[in-house]
Amino acid sequence: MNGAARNWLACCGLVLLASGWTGAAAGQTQTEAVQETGPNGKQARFREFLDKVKQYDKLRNSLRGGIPAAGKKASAEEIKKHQETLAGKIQEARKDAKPGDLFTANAQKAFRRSIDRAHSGTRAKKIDRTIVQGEPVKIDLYVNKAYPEKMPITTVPPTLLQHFPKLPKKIDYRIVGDDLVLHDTESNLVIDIFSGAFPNAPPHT
Amino acid sequence: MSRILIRVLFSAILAVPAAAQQITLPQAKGSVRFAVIGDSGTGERLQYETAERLRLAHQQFPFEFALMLGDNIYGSKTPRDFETKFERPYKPLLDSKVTFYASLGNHDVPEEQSYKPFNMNGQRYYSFKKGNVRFFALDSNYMDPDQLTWLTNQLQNSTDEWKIAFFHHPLYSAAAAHGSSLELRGILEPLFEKYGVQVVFSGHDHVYERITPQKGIAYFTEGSSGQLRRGDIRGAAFTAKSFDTDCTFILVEIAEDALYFETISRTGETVDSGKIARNVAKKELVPAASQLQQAPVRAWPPLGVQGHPDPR
Repeated sequence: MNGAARNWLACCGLVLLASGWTGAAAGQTQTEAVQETGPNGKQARFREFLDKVKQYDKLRNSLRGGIPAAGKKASAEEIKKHQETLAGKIQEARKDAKPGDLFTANAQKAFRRSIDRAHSGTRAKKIDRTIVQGEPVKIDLYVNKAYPEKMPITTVPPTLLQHFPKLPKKIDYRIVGDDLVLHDTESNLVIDIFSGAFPNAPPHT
Repeated sequence: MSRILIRVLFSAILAVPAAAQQITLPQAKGSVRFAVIGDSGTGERLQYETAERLRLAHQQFPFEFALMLGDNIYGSKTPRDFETKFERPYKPLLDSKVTFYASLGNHDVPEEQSYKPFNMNGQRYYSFKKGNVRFFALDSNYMDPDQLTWLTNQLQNSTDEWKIAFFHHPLYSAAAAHGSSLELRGILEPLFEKYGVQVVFSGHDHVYERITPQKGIAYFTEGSSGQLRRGDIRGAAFTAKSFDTDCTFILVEIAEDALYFETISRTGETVDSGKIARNVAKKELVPAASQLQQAPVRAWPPLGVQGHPDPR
């Protein structure tokens, strides 16, 4: 079997596995394991992106030191203070941050591929429906600035999350308009934006 | 500001009839009693009036805790917002030691997980036990593989007699605004069915709706404890009872093998009530006798009539 055929079979396998993920979670875990470790697994395809996410997480961890922790049972004031103080430190440390720092050209290519795989066949309609039901918004976001807290955070379709690489705690993907956004939920800062990641995104408000 | 407060309180007093409503739940000894509210955190008049009705209900039916189905704090999230959209309307209940357990909606921010009165203990999803009941609070905004693995493990390991899940997005909904979350249903319902979840509470659509049991699972949408989208219910084959003309909350009592519920409107009308039998939800789900006099509802279809065609 040549390389192209092997890749094609791997792709078919992934699609079949992904389409069957509505079954028991044990099956899901197996599917995920294949996707993580296979020759076209997420770890390999997203290595550069994950390295940069790891660097960001490390930076955040280092800046978190010295800030009073909000903890697990905080008041609204403590949560706000922690968030704003941490955001200030990150903004200072990343003052030159710009779109594409994490969503590099390679990362964008890998995400585009994952989106195309997930957003295919009968799943596409359900994914679009999930996005619409999450009250999608089109707002102007800027790297290293706050995500506007008055706006809904939008729902990320589970099928996409299955295809995207796992992120550290308190870093989430967001879909805003037709962009894919990396959101630090602890500091409420936009880490990076992949503009036009969803060229066929459903209508937003 | 004080003028606004006086106006809100005055409106609340006007909206609450003097005659106390009669809660028909059995209040059996040792039962698990709780309230369910969803899409509550507007800080506006309807939330305050519904909260006042909930306070009155608590006097008759002293529930120990309340489930929050998401959209707990709409709009801005300053400390003052937490006060006006949660702490103040539910102050009498908080003062009475009612514990709130929150799940996150799309208008919430993930950091609400650290807010002490929401009892999420810094987790987007978590479980807790009360008596013979295990509750699973999920984050339906972000159903990632980690959460699904966690849920599977929790369900597998639960030996509790009752398993109840609550989260924001409804798997079944006949409301026009959002409707059924089909992708989420395709993922969660097989788990619920496999591991014996009997009841699911969701919000998001700003109405009240009870669904004809699907695959042995009773579904409720309670998204109108502060928000309201009047006339939004379109009706579907799976709708057993719906109400979209006023705000509501649900009172629930679990006594051994039976779950009793009573849904009450802002003005004190019982708009729905009934009983769900544990492990026989597929065979038996009948309205409580008291309901027949108070709020006629469509008869329950014979159970086993599952898998209604879902037009949504």
